[in-house]
Amino acid sequence: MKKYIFTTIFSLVTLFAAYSQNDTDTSFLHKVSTWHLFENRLINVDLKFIDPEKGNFGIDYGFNLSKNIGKSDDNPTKRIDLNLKSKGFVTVTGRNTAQNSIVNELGLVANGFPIGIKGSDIPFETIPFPEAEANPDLISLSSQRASQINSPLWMYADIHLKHETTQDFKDYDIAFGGYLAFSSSLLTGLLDMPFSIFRVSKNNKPRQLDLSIGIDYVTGLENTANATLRDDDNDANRINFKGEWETGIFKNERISFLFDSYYELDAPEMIKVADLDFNYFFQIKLEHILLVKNNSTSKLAIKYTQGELPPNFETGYVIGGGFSIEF
Amino acid sequence: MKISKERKVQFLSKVYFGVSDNPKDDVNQFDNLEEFLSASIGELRWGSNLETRQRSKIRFSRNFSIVLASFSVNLSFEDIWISMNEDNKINTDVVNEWAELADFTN
Repeated sequence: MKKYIFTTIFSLVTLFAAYSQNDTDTSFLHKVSTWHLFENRLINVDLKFIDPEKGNFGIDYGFNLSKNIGKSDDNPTKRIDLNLKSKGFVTVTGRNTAQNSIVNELGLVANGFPIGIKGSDIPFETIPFPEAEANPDLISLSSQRASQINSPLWMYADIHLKHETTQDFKDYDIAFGGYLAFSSSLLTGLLDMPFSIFRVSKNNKPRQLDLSIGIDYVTGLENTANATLRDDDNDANRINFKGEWETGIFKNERISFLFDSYYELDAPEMIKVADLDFNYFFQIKLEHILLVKNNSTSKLAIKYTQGELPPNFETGYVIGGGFSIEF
Repeated sequence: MKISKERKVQFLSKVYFGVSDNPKDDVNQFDNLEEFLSASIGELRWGSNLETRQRSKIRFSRNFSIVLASFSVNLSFEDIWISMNEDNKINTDVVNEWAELADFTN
């Protein structure tokens, strides 16, 4: 029953998300026909062939819908968005694979707080347009000026409600909490040093490092595989620390890293003995873009994942290779 | 003297390319302007999930608006940000739209 509810909700949301067309016509009927519930959407699907013990074939998916519900008139980078998202690791064999996990989330995100530089601190002089236009190095000058006003640290905040479940929906918990997230260029050079050696294309460069730390109140743990270890203590406070980073290697290939960790505060004694109070998930993904067409990107991907995922935090690892599609 | 749309487009294209190539927040994987203009907004390296992509676009929109202002061209963060959320739009078309919206003061 839960599967059908989830599938129905997923289908309805996908229908809304797929209908996103921008047009300047202001007629009433056109407004109605082009109205969309969510302004931004991203859907990615990784199809992968994996170890036969884990089911031969798996799908990693993610979809994320976003709608702006508030913003500052004085500082337009500060805005609040409503996010609806789901991400999952599913395999053919269902419960036989430790890393099958689906997390559905509804949240509010406060975006765009630059730290370390004020909007009014412009470290260069204004140049009249004709003089700028005549500058033969306008592109590099623009790049240099962007670098000079770049804030070394941006902060974001989020509150959310999560439904964490296995792919058969038999084990699950509910988490409510929030996090602070930071994007920074401060460590980019250091992290990129070993990868820059393997880079042929001069413009296949690293991204900023994204870090987040948050806390969740988790309930419903009597519905998870570890319930017998909890001695009827079926609520928990859990700290979540996550880091993501991506850079380029070779000509157009991208390598990305994800580290996601969970620590349960004041866990029951048997949970600690079983070493289940601290769990982490690690992923390395190497991608090569095959085709970009009609607002979708197809890639060839090799992925290694290791660790534990909610709700059951069963240890596992997967090496998979296949197609990644983003639209 | 009125500035032709062609001059505005050429200028905005170059600044767009340069700011997206910010060495501290690089989202531009193209080596030349022509390839960049032929690509869509969504093809730029904003990130792997929607939240990361939105953050990248917020940072870019702010920086682009400030750099243009330093060249005496006024294009608001909001106008840039709205365009950045149209992933299927080609960069050439976006620049043409900005040429209509931007205020070029001499």
